[in-house]
Amino acid sequence: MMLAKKAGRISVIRQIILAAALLMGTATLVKAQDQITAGEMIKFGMRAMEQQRYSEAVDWFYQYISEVEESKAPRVVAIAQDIRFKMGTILIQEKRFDEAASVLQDYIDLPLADKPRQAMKMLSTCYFDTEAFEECASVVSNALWYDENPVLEASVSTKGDEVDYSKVKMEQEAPFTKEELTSLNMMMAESYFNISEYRRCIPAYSYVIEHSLDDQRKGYAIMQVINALIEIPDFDRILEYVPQLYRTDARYDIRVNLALINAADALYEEGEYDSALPLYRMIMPRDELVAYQEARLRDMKIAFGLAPDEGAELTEAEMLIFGGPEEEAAPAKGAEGEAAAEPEIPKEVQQLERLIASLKGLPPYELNIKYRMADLYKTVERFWEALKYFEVVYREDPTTEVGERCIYELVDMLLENLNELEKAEVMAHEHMGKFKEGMTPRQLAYMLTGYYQKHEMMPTIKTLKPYLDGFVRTNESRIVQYDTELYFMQAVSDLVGQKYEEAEVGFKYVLDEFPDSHQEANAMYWYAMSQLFLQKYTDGEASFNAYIQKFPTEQYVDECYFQGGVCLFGQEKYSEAMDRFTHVIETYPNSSIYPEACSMRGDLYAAGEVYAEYDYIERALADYDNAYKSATRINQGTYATFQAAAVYEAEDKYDEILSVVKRYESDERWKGEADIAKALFWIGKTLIQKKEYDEAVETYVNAIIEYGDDLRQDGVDQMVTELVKINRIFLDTEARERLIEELLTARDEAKEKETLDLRLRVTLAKLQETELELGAELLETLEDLDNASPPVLAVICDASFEEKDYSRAEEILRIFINKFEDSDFMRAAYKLRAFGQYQEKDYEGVLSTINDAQALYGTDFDVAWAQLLKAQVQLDQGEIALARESNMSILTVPAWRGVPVAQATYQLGQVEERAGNLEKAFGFFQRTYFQYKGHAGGYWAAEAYLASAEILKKMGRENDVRNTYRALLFDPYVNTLPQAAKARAYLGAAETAEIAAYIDAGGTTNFTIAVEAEMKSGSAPAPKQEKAGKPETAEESSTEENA
Amino acid sequence: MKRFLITLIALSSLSAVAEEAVQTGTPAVLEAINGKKIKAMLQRMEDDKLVFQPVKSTRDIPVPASKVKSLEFFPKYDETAVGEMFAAGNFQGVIDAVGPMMDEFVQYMQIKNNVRDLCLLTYNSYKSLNDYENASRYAQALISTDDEALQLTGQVGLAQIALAQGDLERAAQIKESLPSDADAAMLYLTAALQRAHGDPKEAIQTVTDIIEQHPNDVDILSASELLIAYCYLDMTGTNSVISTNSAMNTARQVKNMYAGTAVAVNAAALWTKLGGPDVEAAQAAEAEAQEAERAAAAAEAEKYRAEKQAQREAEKAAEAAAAANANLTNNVTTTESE
Repeated sequence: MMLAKKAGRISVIRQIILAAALLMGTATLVKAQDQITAGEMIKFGMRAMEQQRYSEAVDWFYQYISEVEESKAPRVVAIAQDIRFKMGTILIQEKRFDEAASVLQDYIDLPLADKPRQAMKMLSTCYFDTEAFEECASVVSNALWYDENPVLEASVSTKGDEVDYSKVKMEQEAPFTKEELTSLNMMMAESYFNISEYRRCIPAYSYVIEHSLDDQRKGYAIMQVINALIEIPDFDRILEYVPQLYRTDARYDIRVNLALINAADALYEEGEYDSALPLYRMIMPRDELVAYQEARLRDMKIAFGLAPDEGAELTEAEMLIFGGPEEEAAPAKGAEGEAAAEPEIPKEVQQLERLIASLKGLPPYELNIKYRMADLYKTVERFWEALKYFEVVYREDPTTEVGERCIYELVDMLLENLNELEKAEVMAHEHMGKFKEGMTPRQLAYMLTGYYQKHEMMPTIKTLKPYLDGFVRTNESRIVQYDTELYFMQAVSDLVGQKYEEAEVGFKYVLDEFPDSHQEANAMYWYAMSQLFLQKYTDGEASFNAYIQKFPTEQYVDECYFQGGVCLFGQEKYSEAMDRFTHVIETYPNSSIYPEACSMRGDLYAAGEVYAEYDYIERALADYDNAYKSATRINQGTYATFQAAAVYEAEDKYDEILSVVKRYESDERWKGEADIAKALFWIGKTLIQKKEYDEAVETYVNAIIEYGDDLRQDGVDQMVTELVKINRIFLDTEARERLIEELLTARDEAKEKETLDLRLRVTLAKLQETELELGAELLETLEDLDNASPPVLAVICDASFEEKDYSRAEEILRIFINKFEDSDFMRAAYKLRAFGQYQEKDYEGVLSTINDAQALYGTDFDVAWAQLLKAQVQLDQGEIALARESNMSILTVPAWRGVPVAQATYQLGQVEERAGNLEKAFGFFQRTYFQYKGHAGGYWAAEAYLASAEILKKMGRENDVRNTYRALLFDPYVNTLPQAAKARAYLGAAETAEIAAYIDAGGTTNFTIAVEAEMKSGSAPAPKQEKAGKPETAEESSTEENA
Repeated sequence: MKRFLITLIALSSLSAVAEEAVQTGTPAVLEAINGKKIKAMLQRMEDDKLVFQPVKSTRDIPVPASKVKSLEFFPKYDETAVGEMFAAGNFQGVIDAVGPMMDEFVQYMQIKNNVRDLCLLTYNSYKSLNDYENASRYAQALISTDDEALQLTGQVGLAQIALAQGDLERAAQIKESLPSDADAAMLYLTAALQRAHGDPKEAIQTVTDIIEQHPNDVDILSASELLIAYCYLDMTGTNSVISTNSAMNTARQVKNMYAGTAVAVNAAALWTKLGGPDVEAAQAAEAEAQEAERAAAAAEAEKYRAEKQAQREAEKAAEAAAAANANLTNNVTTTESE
């Protein structure tokens, strides 16, 4: 149909041209109509053709054809065909494609054409050049069919008027060459492609791919097949062609590159990543491609005899051909001095120029391609390759949208897919440091925060704070949301890191800076929790109440009621606290804090203060039971169980202890999680109460061996302490030896279990009372403390303290805080650390450590050192009043009676001495050696004697000094201590020997040294000493000696 | 005289028969650098000299290899079948088909000839079969050629063989001896050595440089990408974040992108070993199920629409019937009243 239309159109053109030639032609022509013969027409035409007057030649030939058209004489028909062929050639040369097509079509259709293949080839070119693709494809198809099925021989016969030209003998036309076949197939393929006949174009392109020797043409054909397959679509087949394309040199072809971009993009959009990836890879950078093609264009122009581009620097060879700049400047002249006509630019050159222009007109595509490649790699989980390309794009342009997407992808992949935290941090920090506006830096901070949180690296979240503070704030809601979240997480990090003061400030910041944010309720809850942790019970209670009021339906409201109760408890408002816990228990029976509320109320009942009725124990136990039954977390179950056990223990109900502990031990809910060691500890305790010592020992030893290698089983450590106690109190010698034997055997079997081995060593050391030796050894040899349990660390602490080796104090305390924060053995670590800091004169550090220790252990007996050291630090800092106050406070604590009070009294003497109150000072020293000589092996008494002597020296009371030293040597509590050496040195050998002889003879002394002022001070009443039955003789006097 | 002549003729015939009977060697057309061609029976290479006998002569003629422009052998094998065997990974089949014949030709590879491609194919087949002795022999033959690409293939191949045999030192030496402009090959061997030293992460990053800087160096790129697949596989053991998916996907892409090469065949083997076909089948089944589901949903929707349409039409018909009935009634009534 199309072909018919086209033929019709061409026929019309021909008639018009003929009419024009006949009516409007030159006078010669008009005249020739009547006079010129057909033979002359050919002759004139041929001559015009030879003289390259093609237009005229064509006119003559048209006339000739017109003249002989009706003739059937074979010779005339053959000549006319020959003329048609010539016309076709000329018309194509003259770019009169429509006419050429018409003439060639006639040639092909009419008999006696001796070059039908060539005619068809030419005709196809005409159609192709005029973009008559359907006709072109048809003609090529005919040509190829003809080539396969040629009419090899023809002859002519006449039957009446009918002439059979097929029988005319003709010379055989050569078949198409390989190159012609390739060109024809290419033309057909392109024609089909252009009319969207994608399936039909593929065989033709395939022919070209198979037969073309030109790599670029082959590459282009492959590319077109890929495009056709995309259009069909038939993605699976694309992969057949990609490797072939890879192996051609088509990559420098602009059309191939442009097609590659389109094809790769289309495949990318379709999710055909395996096919898209190699295509993207093959695309050349635009600048590189332009440079290559411009050089090619230049060569091409030179080859066609054209001047290279204006402005381009000429090579030497080009100068030779085209002359230098001077010659170029002169206008080219024709033979008659006319300006020479512009040389015609060959089609190839024009085409290449157009292609280069279109390539230059494209926006830069390299980064986009690299981004897509990165994305493709990521999709198929080739993360390292993706990383490379994302980074390349990011480095090229970090501020564009693509660049920002890249840094996001980079950090995301490094964290989530490659676990390369360090690299992720470097990249994110670099970006956040440079670019402080917009969403991306916040997203990076958010990703890192999330990673730290997920990997329990909460303290590291704080490293982001300086970046967050540097971000430029806006009111853009999403950015505000990010900022809120990021600052919220900063506070959470402080909270988790037990930096409660910073957490309180942080949550307050979120509440103040981002009012009505999505995190407001949470921030308020954790703000209140921070206050609770800081024991700011009043503030905390208010904050929890504020939450309840403002967010009565939010998720933490039950928690707020409960924690508010804890705050009341902390304020010792036990009754209100109990009401609060009751409210929680009654209102939120399904809440996660219900078990804790039960336990807390149980504790209040067990204390028997708020509720002092007869059944308070039953109520407490009922609450613990409820807490246990409703527990969803192991710690809830553990707490309720062992609190109940403690209550039962107070009631001497050991069977009940066994009952609750066994229930806990065998509970499926805690399978694998239960603190079995602790349970066994309680079982052992029960056995001890039942006087079943051997069984208790067996229980403990077995439990230590079984659970002792698990660092988290703190029940084992309690057992160690208990075992030592049993050994000391209840076991006979034989049983003791047996126990040591068992533990030694266990050690032999625990060589590979360092935690257990260390626990066993400590147990043995405690039993054999060689803890200090063990501690000293471990201090020396145990480099890695990762497997050391709290008692092991405590032994090391004690030995370190003894040796005044504080080198590992900080490390050990950190281990306790991080791993064993609830351990009772941590006291030793605090002590060691504080004294270490004191030695370094880090007074702030000492006071901070003391505060922490006192916050944890209050006025426990073995934490008196904290208050004593605090007083000492204050004295060193010149804070006399504070030092006095701190020492005085020790005297009021019942738990600290004994050695701590002795030391405090001595220290008070030091305080007064520093304050210049020598009399007062003397009074405190005297009191120390009078009252506390039996404490600490007489150490403080001996120190006090010496200090007294020094005070008396300062007061110029030499006689009293002498008497004081004599008293020291006579005092059996102290006269063998190292301090006595000073007294001996002062008194001299003779007097010392005399005192010794006197003592040996059974003599005693009665020295009384009194200082008036001390009696008046009131703050430190100085006791009078009566020794060895001697009456006190001195009242107002200075000192008096009765030897 | 006549008798004498007959005797001479007879002797010369015998001699000719004897000569024809004993002549051995590899038949080839030898083209000298001056363009002259002669049919010859190649005997051997002696240092840089080609020793041949003219046809029908047993005289050994040594000629410097540099004086020979090319050799044309007459290999007898089914090219298509061998190509198919190679593409299908039947390397033993390739060796069986062309190995003995190539063993005859391989010594002459330094002279340009028409079976160099076949030599490359044979080398790749031996290497893929882990027959390192023969692969090395063929790699040396490739190195002896004047074709830079083949030389590089041979050198890289020798280094790969050294790596496979655990001789890292030799591999490193070969790497150092590569031409200075062979960047991609240099990077590839660096990466392979890094992997051999137990650092797949470092290796993979080196290979990404090849991908970025030499995206069209197909020969090195294919081997490099297969190396990446192995690196990912190595990393699954040490870094739990990397799963076998990375190795499997890389192997699949190498298999697809470099189809028809030995590397692609080896990649296909790795892909199969890692369960690629199962994954692909599962994905196809899932896609099919989704399609079926979609089709069922569409059919259901269509059915629903059809039912609705039918219902609407029925309702319309009923309405029309009612209206017609009403009209009829009216008409009848009117008629009756009229």
